[in-house]
Amino acid sequence: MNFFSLNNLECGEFAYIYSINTTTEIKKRLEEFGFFPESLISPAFRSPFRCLTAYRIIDSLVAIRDDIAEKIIVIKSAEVKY
Amino acid sequence: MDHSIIFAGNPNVGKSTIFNALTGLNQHTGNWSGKTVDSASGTYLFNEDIYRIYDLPGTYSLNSDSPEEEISRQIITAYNADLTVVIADATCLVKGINLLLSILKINKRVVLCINLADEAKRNGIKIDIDLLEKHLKIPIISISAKRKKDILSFKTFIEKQLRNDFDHRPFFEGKSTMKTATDICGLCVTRKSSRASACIYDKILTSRRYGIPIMLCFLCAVLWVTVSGANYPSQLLFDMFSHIKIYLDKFLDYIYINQTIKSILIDGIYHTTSWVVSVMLPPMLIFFPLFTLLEDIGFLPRIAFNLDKCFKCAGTCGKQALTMCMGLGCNAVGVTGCRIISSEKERIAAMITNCFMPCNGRFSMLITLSAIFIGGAFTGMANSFLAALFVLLLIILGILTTFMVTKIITKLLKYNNTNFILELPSYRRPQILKTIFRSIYDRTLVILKRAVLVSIPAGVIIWVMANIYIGSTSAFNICADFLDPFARILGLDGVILLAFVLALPANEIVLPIIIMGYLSSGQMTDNISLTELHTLFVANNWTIVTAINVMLFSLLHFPCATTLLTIKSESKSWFWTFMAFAIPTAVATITCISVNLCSILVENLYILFK
Repeated sequence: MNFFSLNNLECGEFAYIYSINTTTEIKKRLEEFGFFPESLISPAFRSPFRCLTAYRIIDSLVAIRDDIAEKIIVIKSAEVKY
Repeated sequence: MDHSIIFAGNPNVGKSTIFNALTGLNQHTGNWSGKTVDSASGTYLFNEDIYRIYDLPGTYSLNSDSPEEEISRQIITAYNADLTVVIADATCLVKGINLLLSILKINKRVVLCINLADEAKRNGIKIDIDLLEKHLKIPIISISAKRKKDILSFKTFIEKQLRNDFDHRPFFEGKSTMKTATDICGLCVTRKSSRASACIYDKILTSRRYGIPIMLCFLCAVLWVTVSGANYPSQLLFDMFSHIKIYLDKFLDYIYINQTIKSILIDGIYHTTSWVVSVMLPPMLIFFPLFTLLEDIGFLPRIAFNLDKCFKCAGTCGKQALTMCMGLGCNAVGVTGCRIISSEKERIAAMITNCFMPCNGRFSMLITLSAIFIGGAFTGMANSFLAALFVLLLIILGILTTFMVTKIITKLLKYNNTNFILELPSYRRPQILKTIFRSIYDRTLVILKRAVLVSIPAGVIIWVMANIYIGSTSAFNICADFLDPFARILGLDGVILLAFVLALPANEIVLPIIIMGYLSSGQMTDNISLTELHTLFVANNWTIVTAINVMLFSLLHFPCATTLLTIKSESKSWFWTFMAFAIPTAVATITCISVNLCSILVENLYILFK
């Protein structure tokens, strides 16, 4: 299985969240937005200055910074791209 | 009978829209998370029963992260309401059900209301309500808050549920609430269409090449429409108030009122108030509806998304962009909006720097001076275009100053950084007429009312200053002469600086005080056109540099009294309130001194080389 950090996923690619290696506080906050293991996630678009990415997760668009995204480990899904 | 109901739910699901529809009140609504930052209550009557509703700020969970979520958590856990209605977004049900499950752990009298059913239908989303009820074991209603018949159905539903026994509490164990919510929605919700069309708009609005320029174009367009559209209605209002003054004058003579009191009423209060209304109202009637339309479409969170990098460099997060947008209308509202920022140091920085966004009171003065001195050399469209462009440059300067001062404040404070997570709502088609009406009612008139209430005592103070004489000089002129040497260093004069000081209650009255000081008439002027204003200023030694310094000082100086009191209330600290006064004053002083010195240097160099 190929593990990646979330910030290395290209726009339109799908992946499943494997683990979230942040502090408990951030983890709890992310969970409220649907970021937990086995969630399907896909980067939708990046900000003009490239430090923030909007991810499509559980029917909503949630933007998180790359320094948090790099602590989220994902497994690429072979599903259809956008 | 009297019943109490709590409205809980995620941000931006339509709680306030339903609340307004039921109670007839005007909670401020808009298409972005964090719109409501304080609880509100209202009542409605239905079938001879009174229903009291508490509309809470949106929260994603009962683990409070920011002050407005803390308010929601406290009320949900501590207040013994007859019924808690969790309102969820039909297009994104999982997060709503996650919150519902958290609430169900502590409170059994809960029902679910799925709002935005029309949007779900448009997006090809189908929710099996019966199956959802079976899994959640609580009553559920699906509505679209925009439809009157759905609101009636909602009232009937609430009435019925209040008669129910809620003995059987649904029980969920094992998995986390979010996992459970995801599993339940996986069974009950089907979606057929893709979101490609929404992505296209986002790809353009957030693109590297077009994102920021499009944002600036929108802002410039809004400003240009405001500047070019406000002049004629302002003049009409001035004329109207002049006519009313004639009748008011006659009426006061008819009732034999004392001449001094008459002078206070007409020359002090009436003139100040009529000026404030004539100058403030037209720009507000144009700017606020346009801004509210952008808000309703869902554009504002994209601004926060685009600008987050800049705020990150300043030690804060993109949410401050939203509070700055709120500050464009009224800085006090912007300060209250800072509750959406979870980190304390970033919240304090956002509150202190919110005044660098020109509120409506300063906005009108910037537009007037810009139209006279910057656009004044040109005619027609070029006049208003250049004036708008200059105001845009001032706003950009305000934004850059915000970044710089925020960076300094966040460096000095030692609290935790924010964990910036921003939900981007779907684009929604705004209801144009309703939006215009709502922005006029709940923004324009509310701010106007505040300005009028503040301008009444301010008018009295101005009259006293201008009409009480010590020797042969009025108190106003004595104070202006005292401040003059310091004001000259700033590139201003004593009258201008005194006007800023006296306008602490409301920024709207700076310009009328300056005019009164120059006319030395002891009263505000009735009816003065832009040309006459220009002549008056030039006669009092104004140059374009003076005008620029006045605009810079207006942009960057201390906030009004209402904003300072709001900062005290939000920060609970006299120290930070004092800093909110001192820091902008210092920034404005340094900026004006620098501009003045530069202009003197350029002038001397020009003379030298000539």
